[in-house]
Amino acid sequence: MEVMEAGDKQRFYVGVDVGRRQHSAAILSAAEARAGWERARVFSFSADLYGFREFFLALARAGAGPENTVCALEATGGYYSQPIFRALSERGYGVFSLKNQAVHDLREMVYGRRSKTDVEDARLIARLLYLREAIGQEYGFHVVHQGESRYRSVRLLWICAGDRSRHGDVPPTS
Amino acid sequence: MQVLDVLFPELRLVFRKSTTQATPLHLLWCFPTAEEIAAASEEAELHRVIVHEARRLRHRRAAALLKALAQETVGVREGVQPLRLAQGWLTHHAHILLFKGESYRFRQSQQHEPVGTQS
Repeated sequence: MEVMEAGDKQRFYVGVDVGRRQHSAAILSAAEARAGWERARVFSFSADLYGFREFFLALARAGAGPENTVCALEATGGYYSQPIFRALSERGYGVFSLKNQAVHDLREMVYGRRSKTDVEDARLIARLLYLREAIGQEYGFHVVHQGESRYRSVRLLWICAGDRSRHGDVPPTS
Repeated sequence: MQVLDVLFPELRLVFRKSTTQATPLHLLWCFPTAEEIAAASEEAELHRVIVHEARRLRHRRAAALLKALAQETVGVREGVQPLRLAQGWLTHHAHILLFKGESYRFRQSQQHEPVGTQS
């Protein structure tokens, strides 16, 4: 483990690949994100109370607090990313929701055309965060606007209404 | 049920086999959100719903765990009204499917009852 000098604020980049039942997180220090990020350890945790506890414990053990850490999620998770997004935001972490294209582009650049894995995606997301901070606009990525809850609600209602009309069904009265 | 992975993901820790079986569906019918489960009394309400009404004796110890998980759930709490509507709609239809399946199986068993048993 690296020994930090007094007053040295080490920066951490956390990439989370969101799944329905399980998330994968790469917690990279600035040194790891600079070199050797392809082999960085990726931590998998269940998308529930116990999994989140393990995740925040792992962040604390690594020394990644809200003041020196930036996190990002891929937006493909859709609603599945909402609990982890909210949990990170509530604890004061800076969280971005990335457009999938950014991760896709970096994946192609690094690994070429081959099948993707959750572990690779988590590392790529963390690496993107590092590139954005270290190099700047060249590696900038688009951030997905989370939107206010009422807009997300309208979208979901629209989907439900579509389902109902397709099945020619009557909504429940309760 | 996918909407549960956002509203109350810990429910699958209690009902490990499936969250679309009769007992969890009945529970969600009575208490649609984690907040309502957390606010319900363990013995009088949760126990009654998942053990007596759903007639699942093996869940008699689940009420306490369910309540504890509902109190600390990581599920989304704000802006959940449309998700609740979606969950209510899904629960409603799953109930109908379960009921129709039961009545169909009952009719089938009546039709194919052995001749000797009718006399």
